[in-house]
Amino acid sequence: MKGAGKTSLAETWIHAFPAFAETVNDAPWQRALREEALACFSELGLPHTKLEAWRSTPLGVLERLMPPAPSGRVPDPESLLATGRAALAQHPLPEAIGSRGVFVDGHYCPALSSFESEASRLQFLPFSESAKSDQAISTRPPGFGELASPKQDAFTALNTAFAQGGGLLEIAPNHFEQKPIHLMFIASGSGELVCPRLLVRAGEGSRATVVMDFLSGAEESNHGKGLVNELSEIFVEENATLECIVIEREGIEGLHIGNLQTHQKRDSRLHLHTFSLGGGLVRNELGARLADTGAEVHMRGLYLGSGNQHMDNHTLVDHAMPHTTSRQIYKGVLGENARGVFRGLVHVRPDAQKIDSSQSNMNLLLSDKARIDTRPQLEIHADDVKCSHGSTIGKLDEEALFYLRSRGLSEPDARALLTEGFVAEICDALEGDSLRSFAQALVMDALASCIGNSAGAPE
Amino acid sequence: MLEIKNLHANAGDTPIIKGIDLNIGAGEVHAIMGPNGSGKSTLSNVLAGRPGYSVTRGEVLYAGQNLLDMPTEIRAREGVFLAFQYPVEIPGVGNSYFLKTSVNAVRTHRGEDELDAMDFLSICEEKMKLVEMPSDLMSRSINEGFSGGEKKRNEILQMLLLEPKLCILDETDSGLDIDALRVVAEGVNAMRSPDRAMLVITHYQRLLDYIVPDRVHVLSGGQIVRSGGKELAGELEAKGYGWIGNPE
Ligand SMILES: Nc1ncnc2c1ncn2[C@@H]1O[C@H](COP(=O)(O)OP(=O)(O)O)[C@@H](O)[C@H]1O
Ligand SMILES: [Mg+2]
Repeated sequence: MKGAGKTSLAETWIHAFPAFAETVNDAPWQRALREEALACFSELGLPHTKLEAWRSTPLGVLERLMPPAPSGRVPDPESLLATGRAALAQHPLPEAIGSRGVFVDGHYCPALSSFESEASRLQFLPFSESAKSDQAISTRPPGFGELASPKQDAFTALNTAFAQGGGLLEIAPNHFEQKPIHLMFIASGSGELVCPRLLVRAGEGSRATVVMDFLSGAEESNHGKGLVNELSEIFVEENATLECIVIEREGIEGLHIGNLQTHQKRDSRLHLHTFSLGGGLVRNELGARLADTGAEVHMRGLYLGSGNQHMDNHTLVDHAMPHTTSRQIYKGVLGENARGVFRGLVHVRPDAQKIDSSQSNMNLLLSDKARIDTRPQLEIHADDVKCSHGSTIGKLDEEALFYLRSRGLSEPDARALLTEGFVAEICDALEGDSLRSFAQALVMDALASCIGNSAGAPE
Repeated sequence: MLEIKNLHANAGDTPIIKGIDLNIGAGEVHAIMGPNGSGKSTLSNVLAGRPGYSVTRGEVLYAGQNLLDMPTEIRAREGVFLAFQYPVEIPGVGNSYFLKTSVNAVRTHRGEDELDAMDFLSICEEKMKLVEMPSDLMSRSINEGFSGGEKKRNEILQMLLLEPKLCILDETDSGLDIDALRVVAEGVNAMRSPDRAMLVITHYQRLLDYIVPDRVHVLSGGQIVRSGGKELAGELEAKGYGWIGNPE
């Protein structure tokens, strides 16, 4: 391509910002944040492999693909509707969905969304643009930008500068939302940078399940081309129970840089599940802050890669207060040339006594070329704590394989069964039959391509 | 049914089986006894086709066919069954799903229709009664957290379900209390039939009080050093393995 003098991707985005900001239909509070964030992004630039946290993430692909910045225009509702509808018809969805929100390239699509609840016990409030309704938020919602700072992280800065169409999901105190709230983020495959943004507040004593489902448009040729840079901040108030399920099933050309930050108050429980099943490059930044006693977080993740897929999970659990609990189980199955990265840091602050924390990362490599770079880490500054961590990398158990074959199962069937067995506990942990079988079906599909493509791989 | 001719085999690179000849006809039950390390498990592993073992000389015919040429799963589908000395625990794979898959793999090979979930369940329940197996073991992962006795019952249950023609039991009695031993033996005896051969490997005579063999062979140093009728087992019990001597 071009030699010296080539404009970098970061520069392209920075140059595109003024036009974007002019066009986008903003509330003033968001406009001010955008400008600040862009300044931070200009300062930071895009991360590169010389930074420890980005050492193993091949971001070079971004410079090759050069996803353009969004224009700031809101697509006309008809085309949003058409893209959304087609995607919904194409992709399997769980049987029991309660409320649902549909976003096409980040733009909220009210016609396909419905938040059903008496007396506004559950609400979705768009930040600004799309809904010119009276529901749109006129001042900066409390919590926005509190868990992820544009000053420290380039992708947070980028998201804050270019976010469009996000909103606040609010679960009222003591509300018990029975059915899962399904939020679908559809990538139209335009090739652009898309920055979905979400703020979730689970009120005191509430209970709810939120699914964040990232998928590509419907057409056969749609492989989700583009960069999805999403950012979610989730506040779990006192005594609330929230189950949050992230499903990444974009097409193979999709790049997904996700950042999910949570903040938990006293005696709250958060179950956070991440299923990374699609996309060419997926990176999940997951930060859980246990900000008061009795808070408990259970994090489970599954990443399935084949071909040249790359999947990163970077978790940070911050035990900021005594008597807090964290559990992490991340499992990966990688075939062919797939790459995986797991970085987990459990941080126990001074005086945060009586901490109970465990972290495990287990990987199954189905081919000799697949690679995983795993590093679970503990940083403990208190003494009365119970912490365990560990990681494994392995192939299928030969003993188990022989056992199954000695009972008549063909070798491919035996391998498939063992691989399914390896991932089973992650799906099994989901509450609710409908959601569990939905996730199981997606996982089986993704596994089939992992296994299928790696079949006959040398031992 | 089974003809072993001058079999020599290695475990890894180490020669363990050093010339075994053994014929087991349909309807017969043969016992192999021998001290620890004499090669009993190696022989059963070679017959089942376990990776890591290689035959260096000799041949094995099963129902007239070259057994050693068949992949493990084909041996299983053709009716060779090995009850493992140490059954493998497989987390995440449901026992009942596994058993159904296994039974149907064998049935398909025999040209029979696959069993549906209902049919399988009713057959399975009947066999479970025979080995006094608690029903919750079916909904658990294969052998995961099973007691020693439960694992062995699960092995016998599989044998009952698959209805093999050649049953090889590798120390199925070891580590069992007397009740479990009786149950396992009853399961095995229920399988005795004129068209089925059995090879019962054991370290102790105890099991042979329940499963009375037609022939008893003593394995030592990878060779059969004595063969005889069922009374040989009693002799061994009385005198220990010391008197049989070492072939080398
Ligand atoms: N994979 C192996 N590689 C090397 N030696 C082995 C292997 N498996 C078994 N052996 C050795 O072979 C001998 C016979 O073992 P085994 O057949 O298990 O005896 P038994 O079942 O009669 O107790 C033992 O000395 C054992 O250490
Ligand atoms: Mg043995």
